[in-house]
Amino acid sequence: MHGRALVAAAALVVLPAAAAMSPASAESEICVAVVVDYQQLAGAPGAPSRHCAKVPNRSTGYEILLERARTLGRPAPRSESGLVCAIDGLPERGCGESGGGGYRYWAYFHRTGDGSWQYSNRGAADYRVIDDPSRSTDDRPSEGWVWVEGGAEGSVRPAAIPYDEVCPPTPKTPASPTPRPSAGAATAPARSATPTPRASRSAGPAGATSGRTPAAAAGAPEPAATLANPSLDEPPRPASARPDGTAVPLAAAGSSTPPAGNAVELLGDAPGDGSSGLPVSTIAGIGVLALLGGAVVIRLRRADRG
Amino acid sequence: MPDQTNQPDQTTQPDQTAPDNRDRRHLHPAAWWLWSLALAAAAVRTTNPLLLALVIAVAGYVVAARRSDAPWARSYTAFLSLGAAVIVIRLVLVGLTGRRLPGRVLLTLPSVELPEWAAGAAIGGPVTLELLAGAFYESLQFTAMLACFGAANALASPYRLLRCLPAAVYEAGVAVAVALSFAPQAMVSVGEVRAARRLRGRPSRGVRGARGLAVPVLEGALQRSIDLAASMDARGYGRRRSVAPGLRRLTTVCTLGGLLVVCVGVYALLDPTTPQALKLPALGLGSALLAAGLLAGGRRTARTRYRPDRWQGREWLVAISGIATLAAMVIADRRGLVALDPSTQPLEVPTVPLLPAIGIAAGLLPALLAPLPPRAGAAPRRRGELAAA
Repeated sequence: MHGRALVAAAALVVLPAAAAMSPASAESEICVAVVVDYQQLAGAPGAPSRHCAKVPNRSTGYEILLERARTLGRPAPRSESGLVCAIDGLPERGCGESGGGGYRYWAYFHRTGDGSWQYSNRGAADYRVIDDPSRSTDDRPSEGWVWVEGGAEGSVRPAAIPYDEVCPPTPKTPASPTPRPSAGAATAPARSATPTPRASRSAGPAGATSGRTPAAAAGAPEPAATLANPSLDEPPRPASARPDGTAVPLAAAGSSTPPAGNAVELLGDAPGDGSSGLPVSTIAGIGVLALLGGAVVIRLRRADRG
Repeated sequence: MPDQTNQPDQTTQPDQTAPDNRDRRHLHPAAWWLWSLALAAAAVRTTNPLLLALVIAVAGYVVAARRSDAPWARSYTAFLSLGAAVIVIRLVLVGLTGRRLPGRVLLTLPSVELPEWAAGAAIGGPVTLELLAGAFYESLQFTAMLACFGAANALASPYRLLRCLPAAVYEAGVAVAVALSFAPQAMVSVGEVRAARRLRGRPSRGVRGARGLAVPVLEGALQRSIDLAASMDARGYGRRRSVAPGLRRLTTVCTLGGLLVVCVGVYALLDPTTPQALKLPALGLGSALLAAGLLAGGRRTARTRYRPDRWQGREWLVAISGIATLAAMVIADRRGLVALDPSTQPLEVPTVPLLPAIGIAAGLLPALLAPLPPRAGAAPRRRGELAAA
């Protein structure tokens, strides 16, 4: 009786999981413009950060922020129960603290095309960006994050940067001399021939390539990048000498390039995680806990005996 | 002429002169409660699982070191089991319905996507380590608070605590104490009725057994409470002193007004847009009004205390050790120690910050400083009296 119940429960879990893992139709890639406006946040660069995120269709807002953090080599966005607490590691502590006559948090906005920013009704974990790149309209999705303090959330909006500045359309002429797979007059066929850093996704249609190419036109000297590595954790372009990809206002193109040596910011790795295993204080804490637990047991035995 | 010797009767107090019993006494219950409430308040300020486990271990050690042999002293493990049940329930619920963020997937449940009008949330789906870690940290915080309350329950006798209550709530406290003593008696009478039914060949288990059990047990409980009420009435419980109507009205105004102002203050603390003057000043004013109302209301009950617990140096030490823990945690919070709230998304290994750890270790001091409780059987209790322990 017990055995049968166990087998039934296991089947209930395993079969749908197997079904879920079967390759669903690969979602096409879309370009989403992400604008992060730090406003007066302490420790933040002065200008708003802009990034063209290349993500599968129907990605959530949080996944888009993750892709941005991975590409730019920033700390992953910190979240607590679904609320995005920190972007790029700012603010260092706290999540939606109250103060100054209101709450201090990252407000989430959406926009299609070049309209005005709309306050989001859903959190970053729930909202899915849906776009159809084959449409010939100009209504491409943008995500905006702005740091609001106090009771100003009604009036503060992310910087009004047009979509085309962040994710420029496909260029007519090759802007970059580097032999990147999407370089030059790269169109969809050239794109689909080479693996992208998100190697598991299928190549997107022509509209999706626009984001990559003009980044080189921003002037950073880039060596010949071997983009044959499909690993998710390595940056697509490894050599920009700029320490901060977005502090410098990009003149022509909007897409930011990653700083040098950023390959270590992996999802889930704490910055202080260092070389091997646990930090010293954690081990000491666990040791003290074990000692206390043993002392309690000894004390109880002594009391029962005496 | 009656014998007026003042010597302690050797036959009723045999162990008072034994060397190990001279220093044994009961600590004032308010000291234990202050210590445990301060520890619980410190636990609320952090979600670091290592610090919270340290709080639980510290409370457990103090209970193991200084508990008496009374029946309620064994209740600490019951509170811990309740806390463990809370953790398990929370993990299961969050695993079913939590917000799905990318992370290390442990297992994938069959998912049902709710339609748009239900906010498009999903039930089921991938269960990530980050999600479970977040739920575990928060429920561990609740378990730590339960452990602190359990420690106070195990260490401080509820009957001695009753004596310390202000006179205005004294009668409510007596009702609680009577209920506390009747629960075990009800269990005993259930056992008796069940045995009697078995002897008569009536069903004693299952639904039919329960039906036959209910009426005799309730009847017995009612009879016992009537007897107790009669004996308490004969001793003068529930007498009210006559008090001027003006004082009565003042009491009501102070109590109600104090409650209202405290409600306003609590709301103002939670809402960040209210002006500063409505927060702590309102709370302070409301508490003062409530205290005045309690004091004034206490004039109506006339009671004296037999051998009240005295607040001595050890009580100060125990209370101060608890407050030291709370102070360390507040200071660490003000300084913005990141380790007090380890992030679960992205998942980080929690570290142990020094200042809060030292503060929690200070909560261990009562295990050394508090006096040992008297041994069972040192002074035989008079029969018929509520066990004064």
